[in-house]
Amino acid sequence: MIKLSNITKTYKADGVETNALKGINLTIDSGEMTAIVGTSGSGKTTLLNIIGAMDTASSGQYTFNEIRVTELNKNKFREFRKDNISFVFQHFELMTMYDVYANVEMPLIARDVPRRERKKIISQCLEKLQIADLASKYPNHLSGGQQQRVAIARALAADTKVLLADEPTGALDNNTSNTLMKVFNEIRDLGKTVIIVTHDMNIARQCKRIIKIDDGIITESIEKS
Amino acid sequence: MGVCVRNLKLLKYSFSNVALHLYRNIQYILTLSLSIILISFAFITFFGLNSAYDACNRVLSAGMKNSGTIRSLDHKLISDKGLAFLDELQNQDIIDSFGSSDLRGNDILTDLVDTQRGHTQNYGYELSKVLEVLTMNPALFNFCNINIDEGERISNLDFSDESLIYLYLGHAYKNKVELGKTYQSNYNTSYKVAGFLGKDSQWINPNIALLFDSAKPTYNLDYAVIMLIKYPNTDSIFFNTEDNFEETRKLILEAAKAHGFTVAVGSLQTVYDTASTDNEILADYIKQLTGIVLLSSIIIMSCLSTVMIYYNKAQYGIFLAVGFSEQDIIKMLVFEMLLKILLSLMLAFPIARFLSINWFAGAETSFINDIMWDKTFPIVLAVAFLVTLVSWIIPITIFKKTPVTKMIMR
Ligand SMILES: Nc1ncnc2c1ncn2[C@@H]1O[C@H](COP(=O)(O)OP(=O)(O)O)[C@@H](O)[C@H]1O
Ligand SMILES: [Mg+2]
Repeated sequence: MIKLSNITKTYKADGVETNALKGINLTIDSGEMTAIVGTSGSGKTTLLNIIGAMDTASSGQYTFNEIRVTELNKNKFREFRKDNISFVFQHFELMTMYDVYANVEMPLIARDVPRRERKKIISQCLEKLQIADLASKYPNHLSGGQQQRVAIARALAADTKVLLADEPTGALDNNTSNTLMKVFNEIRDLGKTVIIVTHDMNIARQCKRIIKIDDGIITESIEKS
Repeated sequence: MGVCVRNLKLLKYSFSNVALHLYRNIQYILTLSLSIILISFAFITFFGLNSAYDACNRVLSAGMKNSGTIRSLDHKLISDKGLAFLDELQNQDIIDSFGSSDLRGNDILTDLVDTQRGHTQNYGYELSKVLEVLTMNPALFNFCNINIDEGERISNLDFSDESLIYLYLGHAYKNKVELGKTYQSNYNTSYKVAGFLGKDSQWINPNIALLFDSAKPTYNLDYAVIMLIKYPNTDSIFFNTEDNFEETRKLILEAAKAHGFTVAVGSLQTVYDTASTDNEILADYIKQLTGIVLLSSIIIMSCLSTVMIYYNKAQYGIFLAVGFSEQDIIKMLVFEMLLKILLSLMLAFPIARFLSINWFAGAETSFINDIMWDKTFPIVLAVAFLVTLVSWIIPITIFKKTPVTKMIMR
């Protein structure tokens, strides 16, 4: 489903060039639950952003189910992201001025989903993440684990094939992190492709596949049977 | 249908963005309000000057080219000698029509004082019993073609009794004072209401020499009290002559010298010409000032909106990450912009209106308030939009150039 060949990424900032990715070759199948692990600064976020069409590669090929993502123009690129990718962030990135319901509603509005249907989808998503009772609460009044559930519900509402999560447990304690990983597994069971970036091996171990990255290069790819 | 819903939601998002971050937006709104107020006044002054020009031209072309003022420089006109001087001017046919404006401290014309209170340029006297009157001789009254709505025409009046002074009252007195009413004063003088003037009658501003450059040269007579007198009793006299103005002027100066005092004689035309030059300088100055106000507003507002974009960049990043497009966000910014313009106008216009009503409270300057609504409002509205639009060029460019990943990045 996702196929990266020879992907590189070079950042230029203040005249200094950083080679964040130095030739990534990677294939991820549909319905997989993959962890990308590596130390801080190894290029995990950069890789995830390229997969998620948040950023463009400097060179190489990225194909997504027949779509040559690296060849899309700006608008098609954005459309591709909207149609296929949802994100979960380390710091949740919820809108603090809207309640949980309105937060989960956002991707549906961006996709012009009619009101009645929005309502149905939102209650399903909230139900799935067991936060239906929080619908009218504001993010600032919720615990970290609850906020991340809202963020996942938001990602789920968009109904994309792929869910990308950058250090989703980075701001949470161990217990909460482990429960959350169960949630991700449940989402994978719904048929979604889930890619989680983490520097924590304990978290990575809960995924079916682990890809180790070091200094912009994949050093290891472990598949559990 | 769906797009419409999305736009509505975007509108709602921008609305709550402004409402919930009011403290952040308030600086922006205050700056915009301030420049709206300043620009309003710049334009009001500008249009005020033009309107004064127009009115001057109308006055001059209506046959007032031979009009002017005699001003006593040593304040001796109010005396028996002054009367003798004016007598001579009239008897020798040097001038025949004259008048002036005057203030009368008066205990007997109290109902006139009450009606007039608050409607004259001398609003400083509002609480006292001072009546502002226009004194003129019948010749000037005739010359000015003042329209009498009700009462006796001047040719039908009997001037044989010198202790009886006729009054013509402005339209505002019509239902307050009876026609023919006679007031008896202690000094063996009496006043009789001879008629009422038509609504919106005009007369040339009695203080023309002093106010030419800043106010309307014509004068609405609705609250005026006109006293028909033989000679005015002030140090500044308005006159008209049918002869060559320059010659008349020489004769007046000679006559004054013979009577032992110094007067200045100015023609309306020269006053107008001097005022025109002054006005052009003032207009240039206002233009520059307006430019500075516009420019500094644009700079300040550009900075504020850039800061605002920076503040909200995480939020816009989220919008993009959940599937909204750049256009959606620019739409949101435009909605926000419109909302802030609206709020600024709602703040600025009442203030500008309030200030202008207070500053231009006098009967002679109140026309400036009308200018504000008739001419200034649409222009200021357009300018406010333009300034805001321009001030968003930089922030929107910054927004478009910032990659999504950098927006969410902490
Ligand atoms: N926007 C950027 N500009 C310049 N350098 C960057 C940028 N983002 C990341 N980098 C650099 O690229 C490398 C990889 O970063 P990143 O992908 O964020 O690593 P990780 O997520 O594994 O911590 C780092 O050396 C980082 O400093
Ligand atoms: Mg990272």
